[in-house]
Amino acid sequence: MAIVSLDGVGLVGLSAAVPKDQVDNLVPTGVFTEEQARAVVEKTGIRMRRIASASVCASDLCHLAADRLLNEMNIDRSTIDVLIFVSQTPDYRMPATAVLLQHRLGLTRATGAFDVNLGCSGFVYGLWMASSFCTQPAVRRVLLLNGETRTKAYSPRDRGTGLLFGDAGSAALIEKRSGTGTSFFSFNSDGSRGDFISIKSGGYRHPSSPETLREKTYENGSVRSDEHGVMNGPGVFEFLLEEVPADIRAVLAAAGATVDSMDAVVLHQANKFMNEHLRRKLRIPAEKVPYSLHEYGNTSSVSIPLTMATQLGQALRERSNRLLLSGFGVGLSWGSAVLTTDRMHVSELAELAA
Amino acid sequence: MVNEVSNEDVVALVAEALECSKEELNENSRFREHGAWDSLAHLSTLALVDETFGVVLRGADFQEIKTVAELADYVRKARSS
Repeated sequence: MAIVSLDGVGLVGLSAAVPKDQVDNLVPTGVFTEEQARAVVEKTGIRMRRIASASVCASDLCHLAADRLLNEMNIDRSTIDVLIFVSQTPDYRMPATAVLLQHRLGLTRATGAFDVNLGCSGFVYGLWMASSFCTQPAVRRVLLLNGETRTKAYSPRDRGTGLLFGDAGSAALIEKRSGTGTSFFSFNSDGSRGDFISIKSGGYRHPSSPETLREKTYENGSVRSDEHGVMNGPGVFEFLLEEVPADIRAVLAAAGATVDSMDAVVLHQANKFMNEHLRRKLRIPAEKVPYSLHEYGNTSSVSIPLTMATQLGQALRERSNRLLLSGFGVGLSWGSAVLTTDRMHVSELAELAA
Repeated sequence: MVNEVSNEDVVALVAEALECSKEELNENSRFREHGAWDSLAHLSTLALVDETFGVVLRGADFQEIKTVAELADYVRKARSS
């Protein structure tokens, strides 16, 4: 897809929520040896993670984040015309979680609400959809929710993924706003590599059955069922090396910008080793690239807004910022954005007790 | 970035990825059979080949590469094409 741009719309508020329960990857659980856990923590940078309890869904984390944001910003809820919920861990297979959240958040029945099934690229896609809606004369405000309980999608006994993921939700408010300049977005998809990050069974291609729920032991000692997520780590890394630098360069070129003119570059928090490699390849100074993965792990589509809220909060509140965002992963799907924010409202991180 | 890629350069690179000493390896080493080979060493190999030689190893091609010398051949070919 061509690189798209739009004017007159701004990201004005951001809030994130995580479960209160925290795990430390270095505390032995019997699944990984101490040595194995230490190697994963050193390489990936992921030490602490937040884990949602059995009763907490991605929508609950988004609800908390959104409710706080709308209250703090004193937003009249009847002015929200569109609600987008980006998640691959929805409450139900139907109805759409966004529709349930319309009611829970006290939005009017005139709200357009829908779910978007995307992962790591989902904040960039969501921001573009929200911004596009806002270019419509009749749309005043759009609420973009990104939520994931990825820890429930992967087997804790999978050697490749057991220590990587964390749970979180975010809420972003997008509205008409002049003076923030033009935003640029790029989008890409490669379904030929759909199996690189996937949950094979439990949908309609391979419906759930006793067999798909049976846990199997793999050659490397990993234990998981066909209804757990799997990730081809080296394959994903190869994709990252091949595709993402070019995508970032393309969106920067379209914006007539360079890395030097960015105040911050917020990358999907995949793992520190991969991200640092990407950063060096693109010659981005370390101080421009914030990380939150050491505290929250890989939270899929929430990782970019969570990093913005927890690592850039003060800068986003106090001044104007030119930002480069890039999300990449499951699909495979990837996209990047260049945009300007100006004295946003950023809530303190909310914690949801089980 | 280096100009000429020797087998010794690639031995050193694989040793770095495996976090072992160069003396443990030679150009005929089948690196996947080394005790330290795992998915993290795999990632390191991809990163180091890209960083050192400017070559992105394709997954399907890499599966076919068994020894350090074969990896060196692949890198030389990729750089000359």
